[in-house]
Amino acid sequence: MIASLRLPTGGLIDRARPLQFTFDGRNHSGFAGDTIASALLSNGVRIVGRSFKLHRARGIVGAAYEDAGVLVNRVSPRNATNQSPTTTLVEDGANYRSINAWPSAKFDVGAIAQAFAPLLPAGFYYKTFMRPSWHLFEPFIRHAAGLGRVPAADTWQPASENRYGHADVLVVGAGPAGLMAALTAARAGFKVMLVDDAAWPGGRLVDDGVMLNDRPATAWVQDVIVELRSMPKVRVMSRATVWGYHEHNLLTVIERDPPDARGLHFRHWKLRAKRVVIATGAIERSIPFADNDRPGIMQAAAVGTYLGRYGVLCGRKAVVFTNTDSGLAVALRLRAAGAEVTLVDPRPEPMASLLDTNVATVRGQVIAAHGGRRLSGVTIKDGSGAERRHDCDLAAVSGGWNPAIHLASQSRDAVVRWDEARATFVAEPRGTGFIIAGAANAHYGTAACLSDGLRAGQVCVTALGGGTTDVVPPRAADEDTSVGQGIWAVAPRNRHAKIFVDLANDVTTADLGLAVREGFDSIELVKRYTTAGMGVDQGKTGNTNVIGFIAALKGEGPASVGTTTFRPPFAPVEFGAIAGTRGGARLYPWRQTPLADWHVANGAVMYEAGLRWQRPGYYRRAGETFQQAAQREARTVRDAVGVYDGTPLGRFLFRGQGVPELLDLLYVNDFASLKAGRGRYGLMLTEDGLILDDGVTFRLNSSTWLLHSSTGAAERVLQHIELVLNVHRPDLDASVVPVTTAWANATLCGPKARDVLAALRPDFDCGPSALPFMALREGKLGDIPVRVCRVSWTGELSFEINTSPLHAVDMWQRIIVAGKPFGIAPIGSEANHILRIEAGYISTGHEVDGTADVIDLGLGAMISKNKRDFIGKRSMDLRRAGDPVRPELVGLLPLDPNESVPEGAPVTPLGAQADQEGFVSACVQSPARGRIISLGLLRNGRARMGETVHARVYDRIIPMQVVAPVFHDADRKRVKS
Amino acid sequence: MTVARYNVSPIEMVAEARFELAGNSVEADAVLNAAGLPVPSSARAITKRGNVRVAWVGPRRWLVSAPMSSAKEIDAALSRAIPQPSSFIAADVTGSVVTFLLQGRSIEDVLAQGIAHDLSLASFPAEVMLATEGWGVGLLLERDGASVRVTVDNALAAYVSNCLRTASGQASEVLPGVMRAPPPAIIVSR
Repeated sequence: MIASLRLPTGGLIDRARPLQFTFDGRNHSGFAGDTIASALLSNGVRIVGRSFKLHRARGIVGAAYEDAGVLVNRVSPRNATNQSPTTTLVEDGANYRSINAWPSAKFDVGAIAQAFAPLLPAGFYYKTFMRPSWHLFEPFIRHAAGLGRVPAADTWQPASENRYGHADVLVVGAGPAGLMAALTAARAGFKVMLVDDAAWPGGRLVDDGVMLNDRPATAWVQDVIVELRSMPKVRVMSRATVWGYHEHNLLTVIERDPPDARGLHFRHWKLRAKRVVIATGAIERSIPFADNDRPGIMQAAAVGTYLGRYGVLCGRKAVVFTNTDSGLAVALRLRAAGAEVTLVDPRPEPMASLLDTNVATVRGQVIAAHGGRRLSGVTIKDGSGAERRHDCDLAAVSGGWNPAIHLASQSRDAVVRWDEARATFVAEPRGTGFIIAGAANAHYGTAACLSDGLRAGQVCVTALGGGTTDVVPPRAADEDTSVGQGIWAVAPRNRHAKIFVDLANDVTTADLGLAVREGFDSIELVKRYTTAGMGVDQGKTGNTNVIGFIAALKGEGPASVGTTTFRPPFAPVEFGAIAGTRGGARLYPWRQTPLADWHVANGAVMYEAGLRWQRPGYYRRAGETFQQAAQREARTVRDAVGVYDGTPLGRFLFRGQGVPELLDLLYVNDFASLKAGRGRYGLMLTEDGLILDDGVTFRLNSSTWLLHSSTGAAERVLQHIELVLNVHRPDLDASVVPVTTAWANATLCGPKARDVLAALRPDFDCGPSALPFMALREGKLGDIPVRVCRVSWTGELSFEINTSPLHAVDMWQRIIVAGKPFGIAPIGSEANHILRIEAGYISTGHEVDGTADVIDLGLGAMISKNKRDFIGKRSMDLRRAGDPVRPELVGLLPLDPNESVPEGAPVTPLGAQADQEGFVSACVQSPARGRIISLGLLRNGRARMGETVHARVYDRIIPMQVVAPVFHDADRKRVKS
Repeated sequence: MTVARYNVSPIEMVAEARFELAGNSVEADAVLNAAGLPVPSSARAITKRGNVRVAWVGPRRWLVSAPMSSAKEIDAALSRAIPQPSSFIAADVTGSVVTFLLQGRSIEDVLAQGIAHDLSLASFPAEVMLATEGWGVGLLLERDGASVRVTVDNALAAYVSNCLRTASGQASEVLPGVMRAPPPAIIVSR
């Protein structure tokens, strides 16, 4: 049993709130405020997971997002996959399990993969496991690798919401620089957002136990936070990670467990900021040596964090291997906390503060780690070349610092370059959208970070038109952390030793060497070939080492190798958090008519039918299939009367003396001659001469017109009209108002439609002479004001009854009652589809497929010969002149009258697999003809009447006879009755 | 009863009479003056006179809102005010929109979940009609004291209501006639 590594005092955890949890079946304890990682470390748990490829034992390495060690699953109380233990707070009563390990991280059967390591070099899937077939091995390899399993869809889902936000100044990072920048901008009166990914702000001020104004820095941090929170224009977010810096200063942030929203797990922000201060600090890099992945080998800074924030001593017998002064500071803090510490530093001159301490110091390097599943010691090679083994349970490693320039790089508005003096890549803004401050700007001393943050804040204030502020940085020790030259890897004694440069993906120096030998000389190619930097940590600790090592192999400097591209997300983000509440009924907008409730209450099956309108597809009756319901409804229309909800039809009101000229420009046929109270069917073309839409336009009076579009094309028709009115012909005296939803519509159709209309007590004559086909009447049905249009899309006598949406349900119910003696039935869009095909009417999305023109569809006679021009005329003429043999609308009857053909089926010569000469645009069982009928477009179709053509459906060939494209009421007597 | 996260309740308001005017601003001024209606002085502005509100909602677009009892009177006044001939339109669009009244201390918390526009007082002050996109559809927003009116096309009202309720933290309500989820297309072979 390992004794607790929790110190009796210290840290920011709430010791008054102890908690219990399990990991891999074992009970552990912690405190409120612990992360899973700090709690496990305090309990002496070293092995937390297994590595991605080789299943090597892995432990906690870092203390934040840069941790490249492991992920865990929360099994209960709420299943959650791939939780980062270093950033996820431990929950009381929770049950955690390691991933990529079975039965546990400690005893993992998958560890057998290590025996096959020689078969698994970089790019192994291109070379090995090829015979007899890669696919033979693939399932095993994929199963053995990888991370946690995606939870089942019906398991618990976190509550998430999306949020837009705006700030004058967005400060990313609440370390010394970020706090100073935020305070400066806030005191100047600007709207400030301060975002920090830790549970407690302060950054390394807290982690490193810094003193400010002769007090612990936590006191100053607390004062600043209290002041910021007291300002109404300031928002401080903790446990919030800026994961993307996008165009135009749009930053995406995931905020976890926001304290102001009870029960909310994630809030996903899209923030727009006038200025951004990137104060994201720096990430400590490692010094790779043989077997440097043993559990117990950690980043030195992380060891300091666990000490400072959580009161956890990560080891009792520690080796600190560093070439930085910050590593030395960790050694001193470990010693002060009671650990036995040996310092290994290759630099010739130690830091002065080390003098008079009890820290044993070795001038040299750690060259190898020992221990099977946990660290038991290291081999140290001193300056004389002598090697000795040194027992330890902790190796804290610091190889320097890499400024966290990810967001700056993502902005695509920064220059990233190698800084030889500071042995790191740095970013420099090209524009004015953001400022980099503090350690992210390669200032590592506390005083330097504070003053750089003040500078950044003041730059923002000045840029936004503010004056100077009274912010004064607190007094800090004027230390500066010196950084030696990078040590990209320590030469091993055993040339077969594994030196990991990327722990997340098990990438070793041998993999890098192989990549270079095989010619992958670009760092981007090395990355893709070896997967270095492509793991969950995205190379935060390893990338610079990889670049440095590649540079050394090539005999170049890191500057010439360059960096790979930084892309969002900076840290893993749950998909559910991004989706927020946009799921189910809120996945995308949908429309419904005022009659929707009635439809559903009366058995309608609703689904989308154009422009996201939810419409009745059919009204289900007991024992009916979908096809039977549609057939019944269609037969009702042919034999008696049906009513359908035509509300979604597009409607546009025009007024002005220029409207006739506008309509003549929009449509292929003539409208100027239309008399008041009458309507005309028109075809509208795109500028390239293809059909945009069709519909009926009525002239309400001398200057007012009502244009109808098809449902699905309503928005693009309005855009087309606005384009013409505002760009092409602003001189026309015409205005337009879309009035689609100002009207509800119930369309009566069928031979008894007039009887039903008459039964509704119209205050106008609805007889055939008073209200003929393509006429319009305004009046009342009983006491309901209506506008009735004689238009048909079913091949039957029809009356479109329009009224205010406020009267829609009342009117509809009256129609149902009045129509009962006549056998009325509500019909859905499926029956409408059958009826219009029987009638041979074209439909947008079927025959109007974006390639057909007017003449193709047999409507060439509509083209006005009196007009000089209309939109699309020239393009249509040009196209037809160059390609006179075109697909034309025809009827197609399968030789087998019961043979159904899927819509879209290609028509090819004798059913060949190539040389398509047309397609089936619509196919239904026709109640009027008692057989399957279809419409289609067929090359030179009108000249091929009677010919047998062939539709091909996969390997099935369906012979069909070419006929005229009208199957019912060819002379339109019923329509015009 | 479950307490909503943000304590904001979207309430559907009683329908008002609505007239949409389209034309140029000179004509609009003349028509509104002649009809005895308040005239907004600048784009986005809302001008009130009694219970009648006129908002300038687009370069060539105005919206007149009034209690239903005034509908006929306003319709007649507008008809008289519009010159003949003219391309100026006053369309009765009563019933084409639905307005939700949002009340509660966290209105911005709710609206900012679907609306990208800056909803602070500086960018969205009172006496202004904000035409913007919310949850993927067009919305008209208007401050009414401490409340906010959200006006949407009636076809999209159920969708927006669902979004507002969910944003406020209430359980997603399934209204009659509203799909809980967009149904899959019918795949049955015809």
